[in-house]
Amino acid sequence: MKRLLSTLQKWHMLHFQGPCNAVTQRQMPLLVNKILQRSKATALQDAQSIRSKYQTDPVIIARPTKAVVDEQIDIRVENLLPNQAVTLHSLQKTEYGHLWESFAHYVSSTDGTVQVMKDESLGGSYTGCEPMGFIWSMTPDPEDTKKRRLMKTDASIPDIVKVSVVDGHILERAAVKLILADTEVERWHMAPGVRKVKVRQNGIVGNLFLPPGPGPFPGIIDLLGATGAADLRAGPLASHGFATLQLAYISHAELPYPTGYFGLTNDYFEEAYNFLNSHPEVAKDRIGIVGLCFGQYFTIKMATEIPKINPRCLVGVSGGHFSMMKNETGFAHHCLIEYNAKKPFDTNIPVATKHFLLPILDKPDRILQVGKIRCPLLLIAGEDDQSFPAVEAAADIERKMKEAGNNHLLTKISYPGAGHIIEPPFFPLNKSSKIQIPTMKTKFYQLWGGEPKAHAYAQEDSWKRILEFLKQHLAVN
Amino acid sequence: MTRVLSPLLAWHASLSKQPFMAAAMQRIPVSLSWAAHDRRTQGPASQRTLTTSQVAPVIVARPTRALSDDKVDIIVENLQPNQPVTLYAMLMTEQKKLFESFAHYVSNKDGTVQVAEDESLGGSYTGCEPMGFIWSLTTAPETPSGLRVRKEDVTTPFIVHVSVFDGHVFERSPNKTALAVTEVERWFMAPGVKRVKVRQNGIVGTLFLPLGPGPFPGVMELWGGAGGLNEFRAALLASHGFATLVVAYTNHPDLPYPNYYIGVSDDYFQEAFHFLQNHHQIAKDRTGILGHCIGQYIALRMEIDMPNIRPRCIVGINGGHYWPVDGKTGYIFEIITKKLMNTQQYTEDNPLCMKPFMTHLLNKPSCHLDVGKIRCPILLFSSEDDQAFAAKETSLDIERKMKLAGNSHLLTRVTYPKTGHLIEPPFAPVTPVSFSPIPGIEDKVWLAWGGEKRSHAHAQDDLWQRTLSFLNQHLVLS
Repeated sequence: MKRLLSTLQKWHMLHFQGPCNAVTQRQMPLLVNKILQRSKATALQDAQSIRSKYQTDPVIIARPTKAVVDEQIDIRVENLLPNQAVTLHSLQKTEYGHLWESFAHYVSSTDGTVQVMKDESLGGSYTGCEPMGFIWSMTPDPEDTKKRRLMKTDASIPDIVKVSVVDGHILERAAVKLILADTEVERWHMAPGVRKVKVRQNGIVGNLFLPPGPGPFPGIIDLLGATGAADLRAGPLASHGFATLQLAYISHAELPYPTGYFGLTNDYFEEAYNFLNSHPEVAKDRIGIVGLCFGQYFTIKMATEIPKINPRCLVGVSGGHFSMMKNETGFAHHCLIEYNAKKPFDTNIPVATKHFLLPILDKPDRILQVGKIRCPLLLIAGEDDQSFPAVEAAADIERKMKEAGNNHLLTKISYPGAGHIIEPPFFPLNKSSKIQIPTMKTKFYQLWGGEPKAHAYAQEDSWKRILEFLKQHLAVN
Repeated sequence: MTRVLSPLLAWHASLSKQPFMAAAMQRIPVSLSWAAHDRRTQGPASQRTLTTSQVAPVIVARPTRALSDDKVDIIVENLQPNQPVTLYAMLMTEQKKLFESFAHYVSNKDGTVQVAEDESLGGSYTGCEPMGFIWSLTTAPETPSGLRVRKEDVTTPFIVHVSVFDGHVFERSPNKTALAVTEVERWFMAPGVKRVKVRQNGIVGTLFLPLGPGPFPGVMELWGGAGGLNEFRAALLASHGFATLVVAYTNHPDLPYPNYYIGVSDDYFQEAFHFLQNHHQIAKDRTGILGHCIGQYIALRMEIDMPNIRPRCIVGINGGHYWPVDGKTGYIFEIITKKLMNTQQYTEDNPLCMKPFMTHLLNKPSCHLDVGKIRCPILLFSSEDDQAFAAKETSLDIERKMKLAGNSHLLTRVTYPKTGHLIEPPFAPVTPVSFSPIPGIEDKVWLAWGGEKRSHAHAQDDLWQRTLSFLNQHLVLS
């Protein structure tokens, strides 16, 4: 919505409404200069008198109000006093009912506007010019004891973020005295037209996300980490034109294994690949596999150990080429269970588990044969990953592929300051959360790592690169 | 900036219409390799994929979900260079009626079509019309023609399927599959807007409250003689920050009067206006009235004849200061129905214009409202091609009377050429003619509303912007 009159015009109208309102064209520029030379204090006085005469209420405008999760949202606050200190407060209620919020300190321009896309935040949850910082800098309520990870289990329901402008610079909800304006923003995981199909056949457990249209679409098998399946990435991938099969392989109610236990064989993944490949809306033999963390292990495994699976490309995020389990099957967090049995963890402080897994790199029989990879591989790792040695694993993969002679297929990107959970852009950083580990009585407090700003940059950049990579290799004629 | 057809493109376009299209298409690979060469020497690879792989065409709409008065930017990429394509939009309304539109574009040498900048060469609209694919939606061949697009449930969006077909087509055919498809959602309620059903004190209406604690400026909205309760404009106004109460005064099952009979008295409108003013989230002295057609007459009557009602401003669209009812209550349009002999003679090509039936009232000052008594700013919109009502002449008469009375400084009058009677929120599909029930007659009749599609669509957009500015200026800023 356009603002009718600028502060300057209002000032003119205020002062020149009398009989002397015939201001000549020659005099106008002089007056303008005079106005510009005014000190800040008098400008504020004038503005206040204008404000009291016209009573303009502050307004916050978000465009678009409903967006897909990787779309940028433009936030603008108008009709403030000039140089007014305000806080942009975002609030989101998770699926579990917990509150995540962020505070950003802005000072309005002389026009009384704040443009989040261009202005710099002076403090709070983020500083500097960060157009989407009001989303990715959200942190959980300090009083929250459950410490659950911010996840998305049902992609068809949008995330509703309440964005409000509060007077003054504040850092907590209790300090909110005067809300000047507020609005709601919806973030959807599925673009309009994306269809979610539940897949429960041939033993496969998963969700298939199909883009709108007749197809054929390039296919993707999306594997998440050891904490189980969620609708996190498949919806946004489908919104970009990929038919994505979100495949559950661990910790799912409909898989016949206890939580945290991996018991499937290679047949399961072969079935999933065949299902996707033979789907009428999926382009045949144009399938890629994307894996996060533990999922990356299976991504590489599918490409190297299952001959019937021929992916066109592979993407691995924050994972490795070795299994965390004892054998082919077992508990995913086997290492942690062993250590906990010897010396129980203190579940009140977040634990970095990266070093527990490093010795595995010295055991060649536990490592997948990356030399057998025949398709392009993109590896993404966060250098501040505290839960998994992603950077070291990626370096080892590169070394082994150099020895085998196929390292021209490898693209390796590491992000300084990024943690373990690298998600689609603008998702708040999950720095640590409590997860359920089998045989542990209380929940294990896992440290994932990451520094908010660097992690947000990593999410944005890696998403772009992943989409480019997938489009380049899975292009349909 | 709009692209103008180059001779080369025209050559391609003309070829594609020939029966020997297959032969013509064989010549295209030559230009393809040129294009491939162009791509290879062009900009950073991060902006585009490598040329060695061909990518499927993709259609991207931004934003995918928007308010129905927001503009949508559509870009089609990865086509062949200079490829003739059809942008096809399809909407299935709640009443299960299909509406579609076709627009013929030719991609540029990059294989891209940018609907916001490129020109349509034919189809449902021509020229550079970024939102033409929505406002030119007309009934599909299998849907009975003469229907209007109506949103009954404003809590759900309109889902418009936008797809790209190869070649220039004028109709949907089962043999052709789309090159790419996307969906665009058009919402009427922004996130946070609340819809409240109002059935108290005899009022039949719906109240839409914006997000927040308030107090909000209030708007009372009144529709025309067709009656019923159309909520979509009120929902949009609330999405822009105005608490809006849309009130039904005729033709509603909850009103205890027969169809097309206006039986409500002045008290009814007073109740409604006071309900709006006294609402705890609405600023008492910042309420205005917006009226379309007969609703405009009621708005003026509220300001002039009812001393308890002091609106802050009035917006009137294609209405008058007289109405086709004898007295305060009665059957609407009895004037028309009495004189209407035979409804069968009116067809789609020769529809009934209601305008001449009421022009005699324009020359009867005794049944006009005394517009000299208006005390608040008033914005009047009228269409020059209004076939249902003499809107332009009436607004001229209102201006003349207000000049004589000395309060014409309160009046802003805007006329739109080539625009018809039904001016609705922007980008709503335009209907110059519809097959509708006429108040008082059992059968449906082909009615003419007037207007040429493109001018009407632009008028809708312009009217909406002016209305929002006007309401903002008088209900918020002052």
